[in-house]
Amino acid sequence: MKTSVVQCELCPRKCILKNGDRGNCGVRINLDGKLQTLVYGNPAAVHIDPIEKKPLYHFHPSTLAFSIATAGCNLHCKYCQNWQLSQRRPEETSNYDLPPNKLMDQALKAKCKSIAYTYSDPVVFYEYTYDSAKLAKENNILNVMVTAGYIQEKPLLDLCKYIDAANIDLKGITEEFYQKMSAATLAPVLNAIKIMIDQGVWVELTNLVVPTWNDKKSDFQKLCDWISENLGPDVPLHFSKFWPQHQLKNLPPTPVETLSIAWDIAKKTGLNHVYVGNVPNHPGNSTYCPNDSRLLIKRQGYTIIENNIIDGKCKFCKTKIAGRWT
Amino acid sequence: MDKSTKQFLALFISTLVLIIAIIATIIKPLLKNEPSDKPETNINLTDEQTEPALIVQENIDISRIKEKLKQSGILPKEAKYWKTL
Repeated sequence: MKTSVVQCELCPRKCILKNGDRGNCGVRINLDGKLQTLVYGNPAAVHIDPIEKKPLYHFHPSTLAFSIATAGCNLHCKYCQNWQLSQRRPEETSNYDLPPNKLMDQALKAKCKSIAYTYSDPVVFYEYTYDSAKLAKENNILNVMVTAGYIQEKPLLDLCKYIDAANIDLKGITEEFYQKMSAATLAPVLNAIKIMIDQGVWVELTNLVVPTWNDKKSDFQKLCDWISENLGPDVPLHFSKFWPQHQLKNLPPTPVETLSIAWDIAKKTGLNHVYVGNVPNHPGNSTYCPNDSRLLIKRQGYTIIENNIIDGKCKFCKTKIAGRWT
Repeated sequence: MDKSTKQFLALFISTLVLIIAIIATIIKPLLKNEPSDKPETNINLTDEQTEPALIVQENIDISRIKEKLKQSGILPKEAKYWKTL
């Protein structure tokens, strides 16, 4: 008797699906013994955002990113701010008809420097991301991923050929955290971060600081130590303020003091570019020269007020500043 | 011993024997006897390999799933990175 059972090999979950079953992500399905994606060309969210919102602070500042996302996700984070998109199936969302060629037309019309595959997770709309990114490259549009990095090595390597930058969530630094918060595992994420950097993708990391979950000094130190030892001092790290969402509405927002402590620990560990996100007017919103500590980029929200980086270097001491500036 | 007493004793003993016989009939199957060489059941075990466990009864109504997707405006497209088991 012929089997129609398939195994998905896109993400570390490696779901085994019999005929009619969907993957954990909710958007891949076995139909008659073939794995199909249900989210090709039908995003549920389409926006034009400043690139700084991703957040990407060292990648073509003050440019626009044409940002898209479909329903579904292969993580189930208790704090997800996009849960109405990520924890839904595509038949539960209102979707646009936006195949790669139409997406390109719209991005060009809007004069966007890049296309950002974001909000939920581009891993689960992989085929759409891949084809769109390939077409974008042919049209001189840059490609940006905002992702949790929960993906197998081979698909990631194939996709990296077309990706220019990524903001990757480094949600925590223990397996226990990933299991309890996101029903996932940490090791594949650490591997994905290293792979993307090795493949020449510009990478910035985000750590959402959640009260009582990952807000201890030891958490910050361990995270920063891993970055310093494995990635070096020039990968920007964003500590982001948590706002009560989804399944964690019982928690308070992250105190600014906690974020300031994280910021200090990261700088003392030797990381050159550390930021505090979702906190207006915090000094951690701005970029400083790692050599002489002068203010390089002053930001107010997503807007750049002052920019002292010229040709990728500090205007004052000519130190090269890590990033993709033009 | 008088006649009525003898009759009573005879009746008592025969009733007792009857009860013991009934109890013995009930508990006999519950007692483990010494093992026999032949199995008690009728299983005919062979060394043939069984079919892989992945073969499942496919009673999912796939046409209904496809119809629902179509009604929702969802067009499935073949995915990358998967294999048949």
